[in-house]
Amino acid sequence: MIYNIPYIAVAALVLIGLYALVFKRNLIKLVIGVVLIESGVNLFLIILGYREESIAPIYTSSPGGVMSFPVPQALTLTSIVIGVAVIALMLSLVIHIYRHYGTLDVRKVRRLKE
Amino acid sequence: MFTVETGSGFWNPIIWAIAIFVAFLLIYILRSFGKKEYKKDTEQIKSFLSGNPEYEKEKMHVKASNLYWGFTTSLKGLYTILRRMHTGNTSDYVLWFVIILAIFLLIEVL
Amino acid sequence: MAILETSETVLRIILGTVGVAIFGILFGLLYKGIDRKISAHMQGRIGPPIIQPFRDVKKLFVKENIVPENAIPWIFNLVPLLGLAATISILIYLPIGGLSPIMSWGGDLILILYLLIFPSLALVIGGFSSGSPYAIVGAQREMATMIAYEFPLAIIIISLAWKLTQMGSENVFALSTIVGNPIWNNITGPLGFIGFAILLLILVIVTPAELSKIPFDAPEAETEIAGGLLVEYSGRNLAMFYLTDAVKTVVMASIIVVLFFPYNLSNLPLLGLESGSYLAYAADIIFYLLKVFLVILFSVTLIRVAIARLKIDQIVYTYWIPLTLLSLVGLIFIMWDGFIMNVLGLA
Repeated sequence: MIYNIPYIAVAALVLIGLYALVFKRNLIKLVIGVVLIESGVNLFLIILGYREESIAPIYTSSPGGVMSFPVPQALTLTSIVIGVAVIALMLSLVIHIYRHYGTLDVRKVRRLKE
Repeated sequence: MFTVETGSGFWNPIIWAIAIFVAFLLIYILRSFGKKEYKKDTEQIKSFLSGNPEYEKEKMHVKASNLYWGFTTSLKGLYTILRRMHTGNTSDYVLWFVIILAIFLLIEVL
Repeated sequence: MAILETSETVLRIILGTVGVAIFGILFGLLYKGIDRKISAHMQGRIGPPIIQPFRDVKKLFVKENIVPENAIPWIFNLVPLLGLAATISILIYLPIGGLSPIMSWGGDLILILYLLIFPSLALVIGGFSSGSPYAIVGAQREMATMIAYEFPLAIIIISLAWKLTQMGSENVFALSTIVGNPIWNNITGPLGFIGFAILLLILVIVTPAELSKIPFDAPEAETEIAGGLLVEYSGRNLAMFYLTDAVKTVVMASIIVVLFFPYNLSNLPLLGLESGSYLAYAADIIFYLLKVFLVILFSVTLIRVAIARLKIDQIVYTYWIPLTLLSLVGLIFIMWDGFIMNVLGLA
């Protein structure tokens, strides 16, 4: 049972992120929702590579024994960097929208539709 | 040699190319029996407006989205529902995502 | 030798194209004149003489060819030629006059379906390059009409090909296969007959939309948008579009005759004609011309004098909802034809 707690944490992170993305109206809060979902997915990737009673996958002066799976840890680093780029772009667009509209309410930035 | 054979038909593009080339030459010769010249720089070359007043070009331009009027007016019942569903708000689209995903998971489990 | 065979084929294509061009233009203008005369008599007036379209073309060649100042000159002058050339090039694949087509192994029905888009597309591009707002509205209406009528047309062609595939033929889209197995010989009960009759009726209703005749005349509406697509065309370019309309009438009527009524008169034993003689060829050609005249009478003339012009959204509604459902019903009847007869034990 104790090994299921990280999965519950992932589910909680993704659900809270989805809640923020669907029900909030401020643009900054939408960006925070996206960040939360991304963090949850990165955590999920690392959790999948855990083996029971394993140590960190580092060779120098290791105490020996089973090592947890290192490939997801490398891929998660790439994913975190991609997330940084996406968040930077989103925030710069939010700054531009604030400069043009003066407001951050999603329901008011509608000039493209009409 | 150049024939394309699908399972149920065939087509040879070289034959069609020769045929349309010959037809084009024939029609070009036929058209040259007509008259080529017209009086330039007179009233003839203005567009025909049948008596309506003429504005400058930006106001007289017909928008390309006018093409869709025939389709949207004839299928009006479908398009009013769709237009109300598309609010332009990202949060609503993510809500649709979640609802459809929940329906898929329910169908999968049951 | 391969060189001899290739040059013989090329010579056959060149002479054949010239021959069908002359045939298409002459008989297209003749049928146009007959159509005008008959519709005039139906409307209680006398109408022009039958050779009037020839005089129209001759008069159009004498008029000046005005290129408006807002138009793009090279597209404006090139597009009528391309439309007429593409329409003529369809005729070499059709079995005209009961004879085998000039190029029976060069193209099939799918190619003809694609090539039928060319004349309407030439009209659309000509309308867009004219630079007048009336022409732009007319071109947009022509595009919408094209999108509307392609749907039932595709369903009809596919149901015919499906029936032939079920009979076990191969190369079902090739015109020699379709002419060799007339579809009225393949039905096994009343359900199939009703199905094919529904498909024939829908093809007869699709024809005036392809030819831009009333009631599906919205792109070229004379009274609403002052001539529509052709408002800026005059002189020899307008003569090219006039000829395109005439030749396309012959092409569409030929397609209906080839798909649904490919019978030859010289095969009837009671006339006593031996096949291959000149009398048999003459009888075939005259019978074919008569069939084309009957198809043009029912699909162009009768519908034209009976119904008023529809608006563009009514045209889209007519082709997409009632006619598509009706053609799907026809397809289902054809599919259930053999099955029902087996179930009822009458096959």
